[in-house]
Amino acid sequence: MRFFDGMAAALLATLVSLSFAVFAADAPEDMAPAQQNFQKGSDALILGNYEEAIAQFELYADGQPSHPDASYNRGLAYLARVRAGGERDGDLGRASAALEEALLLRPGDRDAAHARALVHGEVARRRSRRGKDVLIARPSLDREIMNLLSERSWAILAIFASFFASFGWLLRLLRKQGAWQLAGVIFVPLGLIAAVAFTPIYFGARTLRLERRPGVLVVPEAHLTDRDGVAQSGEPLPEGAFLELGDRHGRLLHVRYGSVEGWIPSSTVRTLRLR
Amino acid sequence: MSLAFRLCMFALLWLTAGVANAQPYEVSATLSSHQVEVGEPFRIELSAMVSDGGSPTEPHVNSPSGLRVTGPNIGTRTSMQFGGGQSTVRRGISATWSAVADKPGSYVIPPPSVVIKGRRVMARETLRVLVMPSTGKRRRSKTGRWSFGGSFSPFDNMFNEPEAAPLTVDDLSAAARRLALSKAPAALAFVRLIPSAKRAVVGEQVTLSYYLYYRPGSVSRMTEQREPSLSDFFRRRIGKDPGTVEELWTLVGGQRYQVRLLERVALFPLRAGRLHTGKLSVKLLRRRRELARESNDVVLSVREPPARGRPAGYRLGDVGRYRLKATVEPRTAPAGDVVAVTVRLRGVGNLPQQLMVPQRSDLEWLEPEKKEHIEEQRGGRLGGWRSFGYVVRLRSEGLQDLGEVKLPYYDPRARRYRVAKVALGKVKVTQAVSANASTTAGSAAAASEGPPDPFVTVAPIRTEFVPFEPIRDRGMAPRLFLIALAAPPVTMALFSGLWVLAGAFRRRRANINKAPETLAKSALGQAARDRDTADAARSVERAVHLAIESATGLKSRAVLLDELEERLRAMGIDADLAADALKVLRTCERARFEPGEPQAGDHAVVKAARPVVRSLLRALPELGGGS
Repeated sequence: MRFFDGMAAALLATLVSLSFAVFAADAPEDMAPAQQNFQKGSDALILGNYEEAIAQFELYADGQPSHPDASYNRGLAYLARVRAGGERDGDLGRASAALEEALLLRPGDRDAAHARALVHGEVARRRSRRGKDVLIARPSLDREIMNLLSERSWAILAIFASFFASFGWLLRLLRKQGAWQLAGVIFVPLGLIAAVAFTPIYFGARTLRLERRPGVLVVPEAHLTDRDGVAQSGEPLPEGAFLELGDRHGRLLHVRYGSVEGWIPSSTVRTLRLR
Repeated sequence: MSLAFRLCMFALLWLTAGVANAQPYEVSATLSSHQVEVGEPFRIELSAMVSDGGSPTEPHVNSPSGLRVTGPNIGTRTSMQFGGGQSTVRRGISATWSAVADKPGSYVIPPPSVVIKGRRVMARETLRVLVMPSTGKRRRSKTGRWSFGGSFSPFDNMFNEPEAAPLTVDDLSAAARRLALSKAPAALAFVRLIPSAKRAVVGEQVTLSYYLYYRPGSVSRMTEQREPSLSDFFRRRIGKDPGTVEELWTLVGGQRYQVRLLERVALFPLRAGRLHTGKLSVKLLRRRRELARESNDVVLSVREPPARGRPAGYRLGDVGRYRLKATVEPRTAPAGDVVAVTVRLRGVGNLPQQLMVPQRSDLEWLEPEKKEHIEEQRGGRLGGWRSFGYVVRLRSEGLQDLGEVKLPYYDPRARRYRVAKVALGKVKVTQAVSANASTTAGSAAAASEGPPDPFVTVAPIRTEFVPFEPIRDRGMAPRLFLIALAAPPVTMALFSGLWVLAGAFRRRRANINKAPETLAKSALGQAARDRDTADAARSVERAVHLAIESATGLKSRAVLLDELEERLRAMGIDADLAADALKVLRTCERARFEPGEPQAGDHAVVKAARPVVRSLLRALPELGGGS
């Protein structure tokens, strides 16, 4: 009996120590590369070595889950290249993409919002210097409405409206006269109208969430084409334009910019990572 | 005119035509449309063909003011005439520019040009396009189809079958055996694309060979060759001039075929996925009739190099094996001056166009001047060298370490990433000399007077992660949403239905309680409970009348007892039953006025009435009575 007790204790001790060993081994391997890339990139950026900083932050973006601070610093690294006079085509767009990513991950990030506004301002200034329109497309109403709330919120609103109409129906059934009956008479049509309005918005928001991705144009400008690559007339999309990305056809990608739709080469767009 | 003179004139004409035909190159240009609208894109197309080796390079067009020209897209073209063991190959390029006019007007585009054997040759045509004001309608540009610009001898030369043609597979060389097929995809002649590999990573070389198979003597020449689209690849022609490659004999479906290599192209996939090369199409001449043939469409499975172990700064597509060397001249320079950094990249693969240079805010790297020598290496792989001549402006004084130039790349043979790097060493940056100092000071002043930095108010970088709560909109599954949406009205519908049913049930129940049959039974029960004989008699009397009403519908209270028996019989009640009912009623009448002693059990009148009431109620269905 004493032998079995000893064996059990030894087994338990081994398991516990193994567990600790596994956790201890896992933790640095999972965390270190992300921290290292971020740290190296930040150090390089502080020293003014923006090329190394860009490489490190891009490596971070390739492999690690997104983090708003890493995206923000990536945006600053591209801006540093612009400010140092080593700008390459699309740097403002790449900076804008990184800052948009930071804002999507942390919507209340004021620094990122300010930096993004400066980038958009610079793009607009450059366009206006070339005699081009600053405003290419206005946002479309359906997207504005759908983006007001999340998909789940629209679903809950529609369900609540349905419940509201049903409650009105109940009041009308139980009370044949009086204030409650009048409330029932009002609730039923109001609830029905709201349910009918919110349901398509829910489905629209769901389609947007599942089938569309956010992206940013990272070339100085891009002309929209049709599915066969034939250029459409109209102003080209500006650098740093926030796009709604859809289907892919060969090397072309369907994009929507405000109320304008078309196809552009997928290499001209950076897809934003939100996870 | 004598016959001899006519023959001389004919020979002279023929020779003139021959000389004209023998011109070693042909350069022509066209427009996809001669009339467009403002903002409507159109194409400028240049075709250059060379017949005596070499190939045209550096296509160029000068764009007039008001016309935005982008491009060119360059494609290669080959035309071939063969027969009698000899072949004439014309190689060339087609270059296409996209152009858009910003203003209406008539534009004259100078003739586009190419470099042929070191000399720039212009197309014959000056191009004119009329640009109309925009109507706002969306117009589709016309899709041009390449015309084959080669010129050929007017005489067909049919192949002669050589004497040493193989008869069995054993006679074939190893190369010819690889080209053998069990079945011909088309009769007489066909084209086939053969890749060197079916799998690759993005940027890894795959060599695609175009072969023409034909039965001896079946075709005289090829009049047109259209390249596969290869839209997902960067391509570069490799190998010897196809016209100089010896033809092979092979067996296809047991028959002898000649096989000619038309082209070898090094392909570098530009993206991951299942990539199609597209089909090669040719037109062959057979006894003045054209045969059109299409090749197979090769599908390559392309993936990205692994994400694990990817070095910083790696650009997708940098695949191969490379090494770097660098020189820096001079090693001492005053601040504000420049040094020349020449980096030579040598290796095998699609030599990258960019290197990772140590750009810093105290060093200004200008765009490099590139030179290259790229050709097919041993094993059919593309390689060579490319040099990058950078001019680096030194901004800070002191001993400056220029850092390292790096090129992270993926080696597909070793299946691992490597980083080619070269250290640039240190440069002594002295104080700016007076002239330079004044220049530097001037440029600094100019810089300070120049446009202000628009990003000066950007917040500083972040040195550590601040935790954040990711927004997770997991949404709601449509099925769950629809169930939740429909649940309240469906519940209400069910509730309403139940409400209506309950009301109907209550009304029915009330009706049943008021029925004479029920009341009769109730009255009989009451009679049994009555202790007083008069009360019991009254109850029995009520039970009998209700039973009669239930059986016949007759309100018998209003009928005289003397007439009741007759009326009951007339209404179909059995005579005995009618008599018994009357007898009970008369007994009750008497009992009501002759009260007896109260008793605990049933009164006699109750006992007598019970079978009568039951019989009357049983008679109900037969008589069709009831409430």
